[in-house]
Amino acid sequence: MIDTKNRICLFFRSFFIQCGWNFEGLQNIGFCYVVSHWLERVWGDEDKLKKSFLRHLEVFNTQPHMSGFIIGNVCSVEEMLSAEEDAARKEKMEAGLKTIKKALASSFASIGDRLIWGRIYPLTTIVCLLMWLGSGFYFWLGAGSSNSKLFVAGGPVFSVFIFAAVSLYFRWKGIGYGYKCAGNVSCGLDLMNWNKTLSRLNFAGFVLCFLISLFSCWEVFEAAFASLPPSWAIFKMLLVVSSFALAPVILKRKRTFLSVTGAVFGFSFVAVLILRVVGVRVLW
Amino acid sequence: MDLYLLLVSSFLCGLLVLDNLQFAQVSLSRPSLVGLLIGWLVGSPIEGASLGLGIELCYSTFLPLGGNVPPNGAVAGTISALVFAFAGRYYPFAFFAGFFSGFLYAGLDVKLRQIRGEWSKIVENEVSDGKIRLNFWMAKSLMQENISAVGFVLFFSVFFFALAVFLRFAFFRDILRMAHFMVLWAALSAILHKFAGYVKNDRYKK
Repeated sequence: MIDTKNRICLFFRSFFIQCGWNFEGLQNIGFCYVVSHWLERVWGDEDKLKKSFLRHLEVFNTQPHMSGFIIGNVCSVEEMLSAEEDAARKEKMEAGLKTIKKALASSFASIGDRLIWGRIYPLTTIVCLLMWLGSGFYFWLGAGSSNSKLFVAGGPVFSVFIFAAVSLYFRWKGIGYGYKCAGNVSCGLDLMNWNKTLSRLNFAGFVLCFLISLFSCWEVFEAAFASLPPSWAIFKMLLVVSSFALAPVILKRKRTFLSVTGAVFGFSFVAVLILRVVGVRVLW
Repeated sequence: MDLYLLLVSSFLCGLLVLDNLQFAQVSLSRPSLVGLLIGWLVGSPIEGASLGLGIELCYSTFLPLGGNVPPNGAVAGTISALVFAFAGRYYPFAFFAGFFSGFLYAGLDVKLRQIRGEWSKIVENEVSDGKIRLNFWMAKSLMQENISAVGFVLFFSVFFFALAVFLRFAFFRDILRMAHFMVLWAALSAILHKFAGYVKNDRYKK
């Protein structure tokens, strides 16, 4: 079990794992910095310390919030390596350390990218939206008005709080778990049922997005027919429907959202131009 | 335009942008929060937050996977809040100013990462020679990003303030308003379809 003082040190240093990110070594500089204090602690000899630093300046990349599992594991192996007397076993352990780093880095990159960037981050955005819609603030849709400034300010803060809690949890947990694994190449992969967690988040994200879309459509429909002439209200609803249909059609063609924005601008330009040419004033 | 507020906002962005990649990554650099903070500084917190959330929705399809450099939310949130406060208080214009700034900064970010690639070789050579000074390189990397972000925000804020002269034309305003309305719905649709795809894949795997 890793002692608390060193765990705290590694935890705070892990915040810098992506510092110095570059296309050559990816997270190499950051990772070396994270474990540098530990290496200085376990390696007394200057040459061996230098060799251990060079080991960790090799190409490395993983999901930063999951890096704790690899950091803890590597620290544990370096500790065992420094205590190993037999030269042949030492060489074998060094080769094993490379394998562990590579295997865990790619495994946790896959899990972390899907979990954190693919689900948690957009879900926290959705939570903020929900808070705003729940408080009657749908100004972002061009309808309604802001009611509760506290909720509006609290939305982004609450999103950050949820995201930070999840990311810090995995960082902290990973370091302790990784250290206990001590060279196990599948360390942390059994921490939870990752696929089940992802499935639940997928379902939650879909349901929340669907409800927000439905509610927002209704709000725009109500506001449009209450304040605009019927023809303009129908035009506005047609814009909503066409925007909804446009995005997945373009994104399915392996294009980015920038292409969607370009298409929207193109359409808006043509639409406004036609309206101006026929002498119709744009109402909103 | 208050120059003092512009400078303070740029420096605050320079700090928040570090959360995007180089420090912590606890989403302090998310556009909605940055828009709220910068908006609060310049007297429009609600508008800043809603501009930021709109940008956040649009950027949600860009993921920082592997070597992919997504558009920068902190810079986008800052510029949108500043443009709203100091350039006509026209919401759609501020939104697109921030939206496109994020992509422009991503281009600069690629250059910064390429420069750090040279540093990586220098660090290795230094360590081989027994000179271990990782703290120096970490600090240099943070300063590099900080200064780049501050300079970028200052330059492009002023650029968009100048571009705001076109807001006097109703034709330009109408295009922006329609495009802004549609883009947010498209962004919501993109997220919905993303999660629908995930759920569909889960059912397929079962």
